[in-house]
Amino acid sequence: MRLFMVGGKGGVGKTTVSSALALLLSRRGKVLLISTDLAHSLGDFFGKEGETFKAEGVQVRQPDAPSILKKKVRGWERDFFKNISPTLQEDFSPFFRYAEKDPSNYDLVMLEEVKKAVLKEEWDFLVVDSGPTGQFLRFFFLSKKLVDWYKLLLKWRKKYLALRHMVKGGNREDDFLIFLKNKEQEQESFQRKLQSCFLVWVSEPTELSLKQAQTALRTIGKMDLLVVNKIKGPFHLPKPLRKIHRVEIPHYSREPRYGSNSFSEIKERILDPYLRKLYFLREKS
Amino acid sequence: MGKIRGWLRNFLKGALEDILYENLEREAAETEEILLTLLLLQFSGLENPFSFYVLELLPFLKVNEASLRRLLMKEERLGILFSRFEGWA
Repeated sequence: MRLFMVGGKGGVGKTTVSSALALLLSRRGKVLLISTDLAHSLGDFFGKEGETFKAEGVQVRQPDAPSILKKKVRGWERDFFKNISPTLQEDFSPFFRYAEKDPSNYDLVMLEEVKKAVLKEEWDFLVVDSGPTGQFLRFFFLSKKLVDWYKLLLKWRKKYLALRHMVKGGNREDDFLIFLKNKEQEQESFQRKLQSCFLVWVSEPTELSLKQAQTALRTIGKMDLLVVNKIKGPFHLPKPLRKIHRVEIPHYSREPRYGSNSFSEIKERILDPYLRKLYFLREKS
Repeated sequence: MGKIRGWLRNFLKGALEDILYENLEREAAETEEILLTLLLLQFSGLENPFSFYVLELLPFLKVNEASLRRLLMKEERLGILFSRFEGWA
């Protein structure tokens, strides 16, 4: 499974580029195109409705984060309240109510959805049409932080169980420890996939947009392809970005949509020749 | 004389073991609280201390309620958090 992450500032054309990529990759294998932006635009782009749909050979998924979060939180609340007294339930209840409405948790739901798809190994290619720069960067940092956090919790749980074993005997492993071990392993393998992903950055040829590309390159430490979209004339490319492979897309008076001539041109004449050069795609076909 | 020596040895051994066990028990309780603190408190990178990932682990907590309550009430930071979440229930 090869992971393609498409990032960029809001409104630069991430959806157009990720859709074109997904459609081109579907000629080489099974593709899942997943949107992690809360304000999904894949449905509008393809002119389809629903959380999941098919567009040519591509499976498209736009997870509904609020409803996924609510369902999960209610489940955990039920399980947690089984073990604690009603008075403590009263103390904890506000946290659960807060958590199920907290927008920062929506991003985490999206991260989990991508992780689930990556670890399932059901697809040959996974293309992530991500949210704006902030969310994109959070994905990378959070994933790493989570590995460290699980490691820390594991260490202390192990120590606790070892002490308990010395005092009272009993098992050195329990459900919690096993769960933590699994989570840590999952997170670590997802982190590896994320680090080895093919990172596509979409930018307009404007100063602000290219500055964000520079920030992304500096913070993540890599960028495999820079797509400069909506080019109207000559533009200045900052020095660090000049070393990155670049694809240039002209400005179209009508916004490209699935099925339009401009979209076919972007797909077939601009992106396809680039993809043909990629060694891992050549090997596949 | 031998009997007294034997009794004294057993007495000292028992007393020492008691102290050791007490220490171990205390250490276990402290370790449990550290784990809870790590679990419940905000860790760098997550703005929400009761984030998605913390909630997922809560059902596994089978700690005694007294220690959980003590931790929640004792921690001033969590006290502030409680006030932050007022009105959400």
